[in-house]
Amino acid sequence: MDRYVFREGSFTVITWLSGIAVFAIFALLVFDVFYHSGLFSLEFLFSDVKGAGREGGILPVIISTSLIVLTCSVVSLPIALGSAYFLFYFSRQNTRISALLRVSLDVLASTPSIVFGLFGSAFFCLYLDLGFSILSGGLTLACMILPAVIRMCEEGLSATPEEYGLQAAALGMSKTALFFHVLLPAALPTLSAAVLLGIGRALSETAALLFTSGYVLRMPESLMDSGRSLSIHIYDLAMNIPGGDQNAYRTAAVLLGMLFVINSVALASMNFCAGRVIRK
Amino acid sequence: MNRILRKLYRSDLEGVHYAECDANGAAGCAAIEAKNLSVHYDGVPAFRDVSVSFPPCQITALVGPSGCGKTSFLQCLNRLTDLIPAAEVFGDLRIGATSVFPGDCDVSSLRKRVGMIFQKPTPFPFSIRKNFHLALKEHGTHCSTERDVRMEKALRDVGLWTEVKDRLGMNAMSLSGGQKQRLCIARALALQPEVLLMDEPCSALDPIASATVEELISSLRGRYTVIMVTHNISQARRLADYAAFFWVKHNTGHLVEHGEAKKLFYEPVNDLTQAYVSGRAG
Ligand SMILES: Nc1ncnc2c1ncn2[C@@H]1O[C@H](COP(=O)(O)OP(=O)(O)OP(=O)(O)O)[C@@H](O)[C@H]1O
Ligand SMILES: [Mg+2]
Repeated sequence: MDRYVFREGSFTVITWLSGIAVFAIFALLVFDVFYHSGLFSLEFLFSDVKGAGREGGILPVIISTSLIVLTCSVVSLPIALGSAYFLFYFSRQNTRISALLRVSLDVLASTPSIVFGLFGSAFFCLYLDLGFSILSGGLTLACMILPAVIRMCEEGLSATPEEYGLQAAALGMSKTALFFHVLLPAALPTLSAAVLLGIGRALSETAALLFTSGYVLRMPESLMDSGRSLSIHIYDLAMNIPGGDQNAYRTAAVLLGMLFVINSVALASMNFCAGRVIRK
Repeated sequence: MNRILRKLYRSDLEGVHYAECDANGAAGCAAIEAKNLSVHYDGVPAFRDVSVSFPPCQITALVGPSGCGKTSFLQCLNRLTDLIPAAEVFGDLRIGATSVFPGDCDVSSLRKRVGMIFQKPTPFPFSIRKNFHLALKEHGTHCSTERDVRMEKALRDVGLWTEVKDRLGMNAMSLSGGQKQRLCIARALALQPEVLLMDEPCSALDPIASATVEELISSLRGRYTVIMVTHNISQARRLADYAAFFWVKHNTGHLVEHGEAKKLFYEPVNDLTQAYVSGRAG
């Protein structure tokens, strides 16, 4: 009985401690950022950069970041869904090839982003002659987030009951109809969570963008312009610009805020999905 | 305006739906004729050389022990075997006037004519209405009023209309098991099939829901050719007009006896059948 109490008690204590530790780290980080950034007005978001970022706002950086992330999502979304369906479908036919594919995707997913940056600068900037541009950056990010997003989307598709395939066929529905009208909507919450998590990762990326979209501070006029993302702006202000610290922290606060919003949406859609499964 | 459209469609549909049975299978229900039909999985036969013809507009029960190939046989009839890479079908099969297995057979319209109900009811996880609309849209019913009319008709046919008419937007997953199964039957009926295949349609249901579904199946007599697999001999006795008995020998299914249900269940010719239907074997 005593051993039972000891075991259960220590288990409870350890889980609580680790929970508190994680939360404490998070709280410290947020505190650090907001302590140094101080309160700043929304004007920071909507005004032009001055003095290499020491003064003024971050409007061009926000625009560049949004364009990079938008390019990345527009390119990666259809590819992710297509490949996820391919994997999902062929894992039932040829288990060996699909296992191989899965392992390679998992390796790619854990490849450091700097490697993707080098690849992107060699392939998109030089070989395809896109130069330092938002397009190169977005495409590189797409390559970087795809492996993980594909795997998550595939998990989402596999979580749908196997009977749907048989049932849809029995109703004379085509494979396309099964995918677009049954599997996609049924897996939508997991799929959107996967995509949002991928976008969150793209949003906070530095290394892969350093060599591809560059760090020009001007307002971008097209996708072929170079543009600086939020995380590169933070890096540059903190490392290269004397007196840029406070704006670095402010930019970090903005980035944290954006990540918070994206991850909350992802979490909410996953909860929605879980709720739906339970209600079955 | 909508109401007028609805009326128009309804009178239109009635003509099709209750068309007289004819042996050609042009409308109403179709006869089924198999000649030397076999299914192999990875070269191993699941059942072999089944030659049988099932009369149109009647309820046929397929009985036999587990693993004798009843499900495989049903899956041949609407070519669901196409979905199993390991499966290979030999022999000849005709439903109404169409031959099922030549390469140019339009599988989608075949499956519209030959509906299937599974043991585990599988509505899609959307609203009740969308379950019907999805299937109907796929077969070219592009007018949504017409889809609604067909849905209502099918739901009335299975006795589900009064239970769900006020909550058609509700997720079909929140229906009870028996309701789900009746919804699946209604969804198949909405496509105006000629043949309905049912693979143990009641075995996942409680006795009361099972009795309701049984009653429903009985009400389909005369309008559709129903082929029903069941492990419940007394259910087969109650429902079937015609019956076929499969047996498994050396891991391969064979058709042992088929004929009028009364004859097969009460005075079988074969000793195996006698033993099985009286509960002494299987
Ligand atoms: N997808 C498949 N791949 C390989 N073999 C299969 C497959 N489906 C069925 N079989 C084999 O075919 C034989 C017949 O199976 P089937 O499911 O048709 O039997 P059944 O009469 O429906 O049995 P039950 O009454 O248990 O449902 C079995 O030996 C089974 O192992
Ligand atoms: Mg079976």
